[in-house]
Amino acid sequence: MGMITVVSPPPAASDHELLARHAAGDREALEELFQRYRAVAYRVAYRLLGQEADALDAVQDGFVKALTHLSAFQGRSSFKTWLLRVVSNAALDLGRQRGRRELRSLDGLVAGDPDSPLTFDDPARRLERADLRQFIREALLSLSEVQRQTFILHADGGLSYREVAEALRISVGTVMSRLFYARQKLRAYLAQRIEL
Amino acid sequence: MNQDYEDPMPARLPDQRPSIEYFAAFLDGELSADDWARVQDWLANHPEDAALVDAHRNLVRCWRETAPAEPSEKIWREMLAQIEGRELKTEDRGSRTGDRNARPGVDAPRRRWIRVGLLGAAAAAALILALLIPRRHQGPPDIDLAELPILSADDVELVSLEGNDTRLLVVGNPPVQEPLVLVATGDVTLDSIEPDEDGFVPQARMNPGSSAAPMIIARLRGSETKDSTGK
Repeated sequence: MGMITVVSPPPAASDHELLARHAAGDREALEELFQRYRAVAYRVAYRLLGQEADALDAVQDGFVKALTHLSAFQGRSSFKTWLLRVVSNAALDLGRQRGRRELRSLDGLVAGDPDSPLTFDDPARRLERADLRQFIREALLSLSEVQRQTFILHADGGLSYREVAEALRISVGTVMSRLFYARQKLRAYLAQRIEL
Repeated sequence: MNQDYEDPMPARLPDQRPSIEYFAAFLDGELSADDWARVQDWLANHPEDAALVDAHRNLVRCWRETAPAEPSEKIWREMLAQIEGRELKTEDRGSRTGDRNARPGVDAPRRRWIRVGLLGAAAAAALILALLIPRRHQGPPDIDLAELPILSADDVELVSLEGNDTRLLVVGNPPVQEPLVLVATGDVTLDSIEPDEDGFVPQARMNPGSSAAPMIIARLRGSETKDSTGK
């Protein structure tokens, strides 16, 4: 009977290890960190800005700022929390600079728009999802900026209440309150347009 | 709530309605086992609140269904190259200038934002003081030192503006999201002002107290202002 040898994959390097290697000039470490967090950073930036190109700008700015200001974050939170704080602030900053452009970007969310990254095979389903996304975008604009940032860091960034509190430097109680009332507002807005 | 969280609500009796914020935390799995069971019991006997939690649950489902798809791998590769390029450029600039206090990433746009923010804050202080100080006031001003909310252009709608007030209008979007504290000359000693680590809100260090809140320090008419170096 043959012998089966099971080789365990090497454990993934921690963020801390990757950051240390990056600081020492290891290019692959940066690439791994980037691959680890680029998608979540993009989701957060996209929800805050509603437009792919702007979201990509915010992600790029966020990564550069997060990496060049590491000395200010280390020991205070995880790298993911730090990165999403910086990316979301960069997105809000970009949104303010471009002002009302985000409202115009709603036009880009209709089905079939090449800039809209959602794709569905069924045309009816695609239209339904495109409508839903447009309503959600409009509903988000009904929130205050701090409510929007808190809600998106949790819902799209996947941060726990404690991590959101660390990212925004507010109390967990404030996170709870902002999340509840943000959902109430979103629900009230969407309930007039779709069946929730 | 989980044990390592501060509990924002006082302990409640079993027949009391849980704080409504607990319903969101219940849905998100952010409650301790005891609190989760307490909310679960409440919802079992109060269908109106159970309907509220269900509505929030549906909202979460809608949210997940409409998550944006990722950009292509090609776009990611281009972005990574640009990030590496910008990082190298920042490091190079710091080493070329030989500035020991230079911080990587503190680039020109960021300095511009900080300048705009500080100018905006100073303008806001001037506006508030102009409104609060009586024209013929003599002696120390009697000002209620309250927190000043910061509004963005999206928060307010200008309904009307008298002609004489146009020179007092502060416009723009300062990069400050939290309330400012208005203080008068002599209330604090400002030790230093540094850009925040992510470049959005300046960090002011002052005595007394260790608050890092951005502050407006206003020069009052007839008073002298000195910084921490006595200049």
